[in-house]
Amino acid sequence: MPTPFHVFLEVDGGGWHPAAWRRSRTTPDQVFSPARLKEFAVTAQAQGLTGLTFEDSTEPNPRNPVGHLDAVQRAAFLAGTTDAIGLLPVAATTYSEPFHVAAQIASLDHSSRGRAGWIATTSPAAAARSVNLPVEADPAGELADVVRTVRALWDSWEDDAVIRDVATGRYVDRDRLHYVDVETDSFSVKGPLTVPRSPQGQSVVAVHARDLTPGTAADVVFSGDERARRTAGGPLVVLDVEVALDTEAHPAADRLTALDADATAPDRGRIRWSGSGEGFARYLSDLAGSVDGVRVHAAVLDEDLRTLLRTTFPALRVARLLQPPTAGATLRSTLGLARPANQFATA
Amino acid sequence: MTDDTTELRYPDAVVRFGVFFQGVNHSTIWSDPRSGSQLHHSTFTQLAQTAERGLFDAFFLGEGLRLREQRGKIHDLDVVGRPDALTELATLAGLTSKIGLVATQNTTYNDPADLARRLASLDVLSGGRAAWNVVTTDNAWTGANFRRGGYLDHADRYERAERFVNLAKRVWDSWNGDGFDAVASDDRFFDVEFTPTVPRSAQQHPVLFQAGDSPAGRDFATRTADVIFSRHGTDHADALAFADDIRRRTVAAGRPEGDVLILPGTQIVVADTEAEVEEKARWVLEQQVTPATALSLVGQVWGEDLSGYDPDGPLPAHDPVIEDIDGTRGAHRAGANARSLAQQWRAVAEENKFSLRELVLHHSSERGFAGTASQLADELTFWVRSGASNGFNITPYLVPSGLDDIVDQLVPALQDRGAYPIEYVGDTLREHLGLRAPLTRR
Ligand SMILES: Cc1cc2nc3c(=O)[nH]c(=O)nc-3n(C[C@H](O)[C@H](O)[C@H](O)COP(=O)(O)O)c2cc1C
Repeated sequence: MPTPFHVFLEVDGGGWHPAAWRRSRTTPDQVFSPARLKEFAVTAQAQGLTGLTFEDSTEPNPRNPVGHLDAVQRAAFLAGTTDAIGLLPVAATTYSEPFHVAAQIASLDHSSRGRAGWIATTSPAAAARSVNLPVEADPAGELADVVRTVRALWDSWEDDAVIRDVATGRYVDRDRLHYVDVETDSFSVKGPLTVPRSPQGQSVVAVHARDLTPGTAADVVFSGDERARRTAGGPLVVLDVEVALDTEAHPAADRLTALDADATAPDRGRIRWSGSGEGFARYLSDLAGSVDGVRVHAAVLDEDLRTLLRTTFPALRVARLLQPPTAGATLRSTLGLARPANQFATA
Repeated sequence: MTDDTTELRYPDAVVRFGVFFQGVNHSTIWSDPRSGSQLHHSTFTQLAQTAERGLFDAFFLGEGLRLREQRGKIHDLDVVGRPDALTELATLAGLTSKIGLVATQNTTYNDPADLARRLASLDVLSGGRAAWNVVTTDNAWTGANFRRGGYLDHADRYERAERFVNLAKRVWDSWNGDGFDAVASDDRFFDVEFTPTVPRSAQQHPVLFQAGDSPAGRDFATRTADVIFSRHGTDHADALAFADDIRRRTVAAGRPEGDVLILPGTQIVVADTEAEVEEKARWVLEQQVTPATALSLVGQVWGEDLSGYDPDGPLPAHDPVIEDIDGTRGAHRAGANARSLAQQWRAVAEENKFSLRELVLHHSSERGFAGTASQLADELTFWVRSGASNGFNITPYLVPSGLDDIVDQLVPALQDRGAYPIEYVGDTLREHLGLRAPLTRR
């Protein structure tokens, strides 16, 4: 049995390249089309990918006038029409309400029957202006606090808090509901959450390596460093790779040159790989021994995804590196993570 | 009823239906074997798809951001625990194609940039079927779960709500065809600046509902909203007076008389014969007001734990230990003077020889409509054609099966009378409701 290797696909907008939206077979408004999103999800699930990720930004990109839809909303939209693939949206931590974030991700976990992940990210300082809060001096510290708070809220209902006891008339057992009473420098939360504990107990928490502090309780770390290795007992390591592939009509190098002529892509601290679909499959196979998975960012989703589907993913399947999640499985079980015990549960 | 029709002010009006999934309440009968999960995704899917089969305009989700308590203890008798409204509705957007999706969201513990964006995202994902039911939760107690705490004075809540909604409308209107215009505001509630990122939806922007009943709430609604979700859905004279008041305020706000639709919340019990109707309505009532619930409701008025009392015995002989009934903890008659209410209740109980529970059953019996499909069709048609409402937001007393007989029996009876749509006229909620362009674009 080969070591489990997990492939995630990022599906925000037209692709990682800022000029992608110009090249997509979709017009700018179709980038948002719900049908397109569903097509990605159904295809990725059929290919045996572990998860879709939904990056997000509340900052408009002047080079990309089409904008972004909220990531949690996009993930939730796909929850009912898929049954195996993980759904991991970004929800920022810096100026958010931890209570809202906890409720949203718990709800996604319920409606996807246990396939929710949460990519906890910091927000740029400019975001403070949209909510009239002071600029956060230590966004990574804030992130760790918010993750801790959200995790506490997810545990604020014990699994069996809903008792439906007809004899006494009690719907819940209040002794299995808990105030979290979190107090940090910038917020306090009383609890309990208004959403009962979700199928996974704790949805999978993913954090970018750049946002990570020793105090952050993450299940998965997205890293752009090829030398990244998992430490014993530490979070799973998933490598972020921006890829541009040969298409039937154009070699990857030509495609990149043309894209760059329209706009230069910023360095987002991810690995960048270009070449043939088969070559990409070999690259991923080599990685499989050292990291737990990879997150694929396509330069132009509509173009590169076809190569991924035709060559890369089939080659990974043949090499038995893609292990399709089974219908009904939770994201945690697909990732080999245990369902955590409740931090408030009484023996 | 034929003679009355000549007096009906709106002889061609049709009945509109919405379904209100309350989530937290004591009127959903959870103890029955037919009652499904209040949270499982199949419950929501079945309800929404049944409502869509019945050509309902909208599926509503309520909101409440702190678990209710009584005397410092989490309330344990009612259904409690529900999904985040916008997240659940986004899932339903992927599983339905016509029905409107209404999220109740308060203006006190949200930020306009964030909430407007999430609502607009739902609107785009659903192809123009989103709506926002604007509420104004205003207690310091809920604030304990949020960064800014319980900071809003009661007197300010509608001012903040109106500024919030107006800012959200600017967010939704910020697409200039080529990119997004920045939105800035520097009033005493919102000193903010940002550039939106979500494009316009098929219905331009989410439809606005409002729920709140005070004069300030009614003025807010008639200035800013498309639809009012009211609590005047049981007594015709009361509903007509409310609707007349709304029409007057709508005109005063400079809008045409019928510009704001009124959808009262209500409950509907339907059965085949009059005898069955009576039996079913009684059953529903007794399931909703269990002995424990009766003691709890009376306990809210007396301000003490009465769970040791006999529900089949008399009301407490002594006066309440509190002055006013505390609303923030989820009591039903918030703000009322406890002593005078207790006196009234005792008088009614004595006169009718009611036990404690019988008294509560008596007060709870006016929840909505009960009848055969044909009786109900006549009655509801009369409501909308006389101008008492534009339809009803139905709270099913059982989930997920609670809409089945309404869709299978009542809807066809209404259609036979020409008083209910026979198909969805368009794809967006704005089209279903027959609304004109958004207020900002007229
Ligand atoms: C029919 C109806 C439904 C309501 N639903 C909710 C709800 O789901 N969540 C909430 O926080 N408030 C809800 N409210 C409360 C109102 O938004 C408002 O806070 C309350 O009615 C007090 O305002 P008022 O004095 O103007 O009536 C509802 C009100 C009405 C009339």
